[in-house]
Amino acid sequence: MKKIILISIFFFNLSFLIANPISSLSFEQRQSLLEKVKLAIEKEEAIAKAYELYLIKEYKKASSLSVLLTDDYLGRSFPKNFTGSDTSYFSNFVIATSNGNEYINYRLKSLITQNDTHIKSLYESDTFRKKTFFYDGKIYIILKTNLAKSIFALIKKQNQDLLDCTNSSSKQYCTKVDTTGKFKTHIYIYSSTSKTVANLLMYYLPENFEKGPILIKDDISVYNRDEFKLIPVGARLYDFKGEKYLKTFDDIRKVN
Amino acid sequence: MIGNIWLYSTLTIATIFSASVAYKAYSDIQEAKDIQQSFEIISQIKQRVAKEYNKSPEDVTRDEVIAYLPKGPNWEKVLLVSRSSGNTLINSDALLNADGEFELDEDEKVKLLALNAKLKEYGIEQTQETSSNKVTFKMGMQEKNFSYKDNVIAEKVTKTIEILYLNKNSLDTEFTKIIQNNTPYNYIYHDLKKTDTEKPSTSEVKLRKEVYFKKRIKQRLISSKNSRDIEIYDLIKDKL
Repeated sequence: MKKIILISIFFFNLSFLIANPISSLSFEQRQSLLEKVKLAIEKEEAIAKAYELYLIKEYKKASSLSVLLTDDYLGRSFPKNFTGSDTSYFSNFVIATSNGNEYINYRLKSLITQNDTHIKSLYESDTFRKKTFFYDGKIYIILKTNLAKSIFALIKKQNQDLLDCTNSSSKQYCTKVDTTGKFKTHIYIYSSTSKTVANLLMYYLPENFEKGPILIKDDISVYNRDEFKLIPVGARLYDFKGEKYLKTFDDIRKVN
Repeated sequence: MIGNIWLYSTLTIATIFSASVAYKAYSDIQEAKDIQQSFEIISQIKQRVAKEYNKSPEDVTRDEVIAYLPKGPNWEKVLLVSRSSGNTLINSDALLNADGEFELDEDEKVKLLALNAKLKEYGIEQTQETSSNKVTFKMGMQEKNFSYKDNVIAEKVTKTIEILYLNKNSLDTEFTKIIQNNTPYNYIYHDLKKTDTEKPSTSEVKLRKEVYFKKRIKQRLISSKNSRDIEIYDLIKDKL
C-alpha cells in the first residue's frame, strides 16, 4: 500500500513538473520561485555567519552543518532540508570541504539550471549575497573579521583545529583555556608539536592579535619564521624578558 | 424624409467616430501614464537593489525586480506594456526584457514618447537599439549612482582575494587568469591615460585596467591586519 502511495506521489510530482516547466510559469509561480531562491541564498548567508561565529568562539572550522545546529548558532530547527515540491528545485544544505576550504553545496537542481539561465544567473550572482560567493560550482564563505581570518589561516597552516594545548592530539598551534573561567583563552604558537617552554614562539589573546601586545620568544634568530611574518604590521610585541618590539613591514624591530 | 435619414445617419456616424477617437485618445493617454508609472516603480526598485547590493541600476535584471515586488498577481501589470490587454509576461507583453531593459514596439509612438519624456525628466542618458520592430533602451550610467562603481570595485577586490586564497597552491599558473576573470573592466572609470593627448588602444586600456585592479588588491593586502591576507600578499607580491 505504501509503495502504491509513493508511486502515486512520484507520478503526481512528475505530472506537476511536466505541466509546469520553468519557462511557462505564471508570474505568481515565478515570483514564488524567485522568493524561494532568495530565501535559499539568505539561509546560505546565515550558515556563513554562523560558520564565522563558530570559528571565533570554538577555534574550529565547522566542517559539517550539524555542528552549527545548536542554540548558539543556527538553532536546532534550522530547516536544512527542503520539503514538498521544493525538492524538485533545490538540494538540501550540506557543508563540505575542498583543499581545506569549507563550502556550501550548489543548491539549484537541474530542473532550474537546464531550463532557466536567468534564475541560475541570479543564484550565482552576488545579488542578495554579502558573506558568500559562487565559484567553481560551489558556494564559498567570506570571513569578514580579521580575527576569524587569522584563526582560519592558523588552522589551515597546520591542517587541524586549534585544540587545547593539553590535548594529546593538539598540534603546534593550540589554545590554553582557563577552566576556572577567570582568564580568557590564549593562542599559543610552538615551533613543533613538542610543546615545551623552549619551543614556545609566542602567545597572545586572540582579540589582541591585530595591535598587540603579543608575547614573543626572546631569541631574534627565530623571528624570520613564517609564524612571525603572519603578525600584522604595527603590532606591539614584548619578548619574554620584557623588551619591546614592533612588527614592521619587513622586519621585527626593537623599540628603544 | 430621405434627407432627414441621411442627416441622422451622418450625425450618428460622426458621433460614433468622434467617440471612438476620443476613447482612443483617452486610452493612449492612460497607457502613456501607465508606462510612466511603471517606469517610476521599476526605477525605484532598481535603485534599492543597486544600493543594497552594490551594483548599477542598469544591471538589475527583471527577475531581481520581480523578487522585490510585493506578492500578488496584480503586480505583474507593472511589468507589462499594456495593463488592459490581458496579456502576461509569458506571452511577450513585457515592458522589461529579461536583462532588465525597457522594450517597446516601434509603432507604439505615444508610449515611446511617454517613456522618453520620463527618461529625460530623470536625466538618464540612453541609447536606443531597434531590432525586429522592438526598441530597446540601453541606459547609461546615472551620474547620481556613480559611487556604485567604487563599491563594485571594492567588492571585486574582496572576492578576488578570496579566490586567490582558494587557489593559493596553484597561483603560479592561475594568477593571471584569476585577475583577468575578475577585473571589473566596465566599472573602472578612472582615466588611465599617461598624457592628456594619449589615445591608448582597446587592448592597452584593458591591460591598464588589470594593472589598476592589481594595484587595488595590493593596497588592500598591505593594509590588512590578518594572517590570511598577509600570507596571500607574501605569495603574490612579485606579481602585483
